Amino acid sequence: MQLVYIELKAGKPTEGSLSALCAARQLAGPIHALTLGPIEAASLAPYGVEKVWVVDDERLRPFAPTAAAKAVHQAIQRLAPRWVVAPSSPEANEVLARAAALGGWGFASACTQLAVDGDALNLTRVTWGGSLFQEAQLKGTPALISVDLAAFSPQPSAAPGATTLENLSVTLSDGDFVDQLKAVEKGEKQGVSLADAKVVVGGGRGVGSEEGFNMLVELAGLLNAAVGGSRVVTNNGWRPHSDQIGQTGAQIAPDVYIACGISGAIQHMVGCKNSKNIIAINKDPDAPIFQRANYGVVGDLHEIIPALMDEVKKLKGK
Amino acid sequence: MREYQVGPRVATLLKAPCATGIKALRIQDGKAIAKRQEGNDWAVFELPLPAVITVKEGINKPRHPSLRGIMAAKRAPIARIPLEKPAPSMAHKALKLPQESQGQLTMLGEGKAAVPALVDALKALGVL
Repeated sequence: MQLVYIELKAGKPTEGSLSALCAARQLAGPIHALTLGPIEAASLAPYGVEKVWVVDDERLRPFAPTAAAKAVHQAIQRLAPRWVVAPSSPEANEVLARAAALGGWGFASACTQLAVDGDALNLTRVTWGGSLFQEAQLKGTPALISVDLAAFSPQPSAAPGATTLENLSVTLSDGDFVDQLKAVEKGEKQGVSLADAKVVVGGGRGVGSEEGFNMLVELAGLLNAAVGGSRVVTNNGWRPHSDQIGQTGAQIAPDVYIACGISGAIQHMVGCKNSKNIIAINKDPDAPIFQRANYGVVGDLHEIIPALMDEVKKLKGK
Repeated sequence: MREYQVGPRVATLLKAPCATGIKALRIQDGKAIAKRQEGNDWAVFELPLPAVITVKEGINKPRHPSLRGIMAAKRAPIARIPLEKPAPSMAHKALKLPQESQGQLTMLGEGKAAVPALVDALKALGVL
């Protein structure tokens, strides 16, 4: 049996959790799900889930990593799955890593390919922030894995399950809630976040200054886009750190990414590799960004962006 | 190769509280106030000490070491602690580079003259 750890957002499974269910179908055995909160069976039935185990302890909301890990650890001990599969989100990875430590089990995060090989699992996983892939073999029972959201798109199963729900009780003490989420503060930025934006306007070294970003912010406003920058931009203080796109910043997946004055270093590209289309504006025709872009303009962004905005304003004015 | 795991595993073994992916940190009244970015918002954790905290780039500006510091470090004694390594559950086999997803590049032109083509591309992509 495989146990898939389902993350909930407002009572619904996250997109990543559905990806984890699809990844689980590549392994052998019936699929069970585990949630740390109430869920409707109908939301998981199309994905071939036989049974959902629900740990319904109100204290587990909001996110409480130590307590969540203990709950998952106890569930794994009780249900004895062969595999435990989770979405590779920061929270699920934290919970699985801690549950693995409690049980002395192996855990491989951010997997992109899975193949059962006898009593082991051959896997490929994302490493170095997306700039390299690692091939490895995971042994032991149970084996814990989390799967990269981009590698497994959520597809309903050809054989939907008649999903049933069952409560699972766990033992948690007050001390297990020591590191529970205390509050959520609103950031300075409003509107669509970089990670969720359908259109992103990004700036790099070529923008030249904090003031240089004013026109990119204006362009983003016209295109209903979010603004981001490369590492040099946030390190120079031209934009806040929260705007950084790349290995150590935001991972974006917009329909269109307009990269202005960005050379396209690998650390930046791993943050925008899931963009469906990249439009690159750069004065260096040999900049690596052009190798990854779908559309390219060679030239000075300080001339091109204002001219582009004039055209866009004319169109909008109609 | 153990991304996401070292901090939480160490915390679990030490029975210490833990917060990961932190981008803002201060100590106040004997507690660590740690913030993690989530979209436009900040998730705030308040941990008693000692705690394990994993941080992301951008939490501060790293100091460059002074020449004096570098020289002093050369003379610093290094303590070595022998460890028994448990058998690893994951065996590394190989590293490989991601396949270059060579975009089908369409050049729209040079300088301001490319703006009409750029507008057309934005229209075709549904941005305009």
